[in-house]
Amino acid sequence: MPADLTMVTRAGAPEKPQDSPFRPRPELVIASVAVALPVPLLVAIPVADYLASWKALADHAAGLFLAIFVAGLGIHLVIDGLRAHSRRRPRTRSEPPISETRAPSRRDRVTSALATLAILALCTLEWGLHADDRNPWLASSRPEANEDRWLGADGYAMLLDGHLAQNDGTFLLDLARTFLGERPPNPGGFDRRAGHVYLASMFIRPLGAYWGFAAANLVAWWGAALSIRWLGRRLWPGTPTGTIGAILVATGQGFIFTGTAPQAHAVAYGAFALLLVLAERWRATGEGGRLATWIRLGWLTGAGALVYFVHLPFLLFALLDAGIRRHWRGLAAAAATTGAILFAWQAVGEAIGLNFAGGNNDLSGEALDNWARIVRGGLQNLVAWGHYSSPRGVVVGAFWLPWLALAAAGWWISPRRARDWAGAVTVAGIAPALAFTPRFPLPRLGYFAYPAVYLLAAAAIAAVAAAVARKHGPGAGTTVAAILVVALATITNLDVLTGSLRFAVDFHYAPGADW
Amino acid sequence: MSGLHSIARHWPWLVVAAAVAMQCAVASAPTAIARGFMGGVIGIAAMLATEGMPRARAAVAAAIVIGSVGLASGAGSFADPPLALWTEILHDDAMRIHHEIALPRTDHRWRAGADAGASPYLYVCARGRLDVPDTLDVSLGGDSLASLGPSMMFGPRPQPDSVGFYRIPLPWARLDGRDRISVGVTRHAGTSRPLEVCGTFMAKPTFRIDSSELFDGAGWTSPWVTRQGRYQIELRLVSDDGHVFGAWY
Repeated sequence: MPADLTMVTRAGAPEKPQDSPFRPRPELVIASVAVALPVPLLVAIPVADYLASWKALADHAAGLFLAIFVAGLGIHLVIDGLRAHSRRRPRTRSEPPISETRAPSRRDRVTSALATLAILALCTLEWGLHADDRNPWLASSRPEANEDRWLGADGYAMLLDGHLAQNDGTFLLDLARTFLGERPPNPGGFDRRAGHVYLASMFIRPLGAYWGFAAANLVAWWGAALSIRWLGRRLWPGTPTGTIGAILVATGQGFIFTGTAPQAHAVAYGAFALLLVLAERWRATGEGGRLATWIRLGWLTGAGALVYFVHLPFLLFALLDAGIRRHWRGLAAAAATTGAILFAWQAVGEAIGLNFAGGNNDLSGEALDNWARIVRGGLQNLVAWGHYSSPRGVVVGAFWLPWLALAAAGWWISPRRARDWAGAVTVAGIAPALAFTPRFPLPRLGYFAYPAVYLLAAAAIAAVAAAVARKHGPGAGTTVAAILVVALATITNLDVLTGSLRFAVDFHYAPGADW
Repeated sequence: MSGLHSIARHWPWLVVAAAVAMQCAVASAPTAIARGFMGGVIGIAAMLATEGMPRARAAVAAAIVIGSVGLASGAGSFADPPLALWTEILHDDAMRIHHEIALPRTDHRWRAGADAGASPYLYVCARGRLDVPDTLDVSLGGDSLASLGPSMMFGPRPQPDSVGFYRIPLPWARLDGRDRISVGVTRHAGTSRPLEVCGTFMAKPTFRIDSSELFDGAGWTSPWVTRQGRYQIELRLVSDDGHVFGAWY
């Protein structure tokens, strides 16, 4: 950690000496409430399933904790944003404007370029290791994954250009042929996400369909890793948090899971990270956030929304990080621009014969209907949601416990601005996934929180390495950081190393009461 | 001069606009509309995102040009994937299906299952609820193994005529000393109606790419030749509690 980590708060005032890691923080109060509240709820609401086993009870309590914590943190950030009407924008004191940044030396530039190449190579290695039938999305649908045992030996697969590929990609092929000019439009289930297929189509002609979709994912994976590196340098200045975070992205479960699947998720994860970079670079959520900046962000968010649901986490992040009172015009402009692009595509798509209703298009509405049913059922149904919809499974399936533990530690020692940013990203990434659980519990939706979780975990690793380095020298610190990162990468590569599909299955289906 | 200066400053915008226009110009109307919309939105987004970063903007513009050329030029890109599910109708007692599976004794999943005491099963996919006499007979190496019946049905069947697996226990003794097994499927004697066996694409055979065959009464043909396919006849190792160690075909 650098010597000068004096920060300014989200509201703009310099962080005072009493803002030490051991000062009570609102987030800790929210976490305490979230821990305590499920206890009387579970005691008071008698449903036999809750007490089926200690595992089930613990899962239920953890699910309610997560839901209350995420909701509480979101409400806290909104209230904080309402208070921050006329105050200055938060900034790290050690974060000079871009133009004032000291020009890096030649040695720094070479080192940085080598690190960039190494990160890109690591992404590419993981991508290659998890291609074909080794793709965890596909592998976790095979009978030996013991979820969909009624499927055939290849799982939920198609044979695309001779490669086994995740079978939902079938529904993208007609659209790809439309963009390639080979067939007239044919209504499909994923026409709302045509931006992804358009980008992939640029790769398909030279590479073929399988590698075309996979190449689009790889480019997004690279972009995500470099974006996280930039954000880490920006928000945790003077530490290797960015580089460690980028390595965690390169070996991250979500990218490994989606990397070679002909699906939009990896591209969407990359787009989300890029939006976070631009919001930070343009200081949209700070005092410099002009209306024109918000409209630009809205356009970019609209482009992301044509890929997948990038707009939900990003607009929620913007709302939480910017403060609604200070930036309501900008937020409204961004949301309106995004919405205009989405609706314009729907109008254009329908005019040329594409489909924007039924199937996957209706899932969000079905989730809302299910919520309405749950709310009508009263407190008992709300509590039962914590068991039947597996909110814990969504979060733990996306980020297994070591990452969450490290992220919690990283949050504890991070500067205030970084904590606030990470809090907003965490809520923005996880809340939509929790909201969707009454329809499907999908860890791959919760994975949108990866920029925060990985950077907080990286901050913890960097802090441990710094502490070791102070005592035993820089070599020891680097070794400890490397051991921790390799240990995490080993977990996400267990499928390749041992054949274990556990984490692929958890990421696919969300673990139920299993721990 | 100011005009030239403006062009020098904004050339990536012009290049991206030209690339998108080129994509649209060479396409049919629906494709041009779809490309134009996506190219416009994403192209503008790319330029906005790289504002203040001239080298990044130039690189992005170049990438869009290369992608546009890829999108707009040439013809033919990929073959339609082979069907993931189809059926073969056995409408004649002379018709028979034959499928060979090499026993995957070196596969770590096979070894793990065998060490854990799992049992081998044959899985045969067919349409509907089969029962004697309107059912299929399954043989192993020419010797009768079982007639499919309701007690062997496995997996969800939302409709009475849905396709699904039938699971047949396979004694270990029937596998002793063999390198591969030869499975036959025919109509049960006395069956009065056509019966359907499922097929899918062939990807990772244990034995040969054309190890599925059909005898139609006159000669043998492989669904690999006709549709890159195989019959859905699989060997699995399953423990008593239902845990599947592996599936092979």
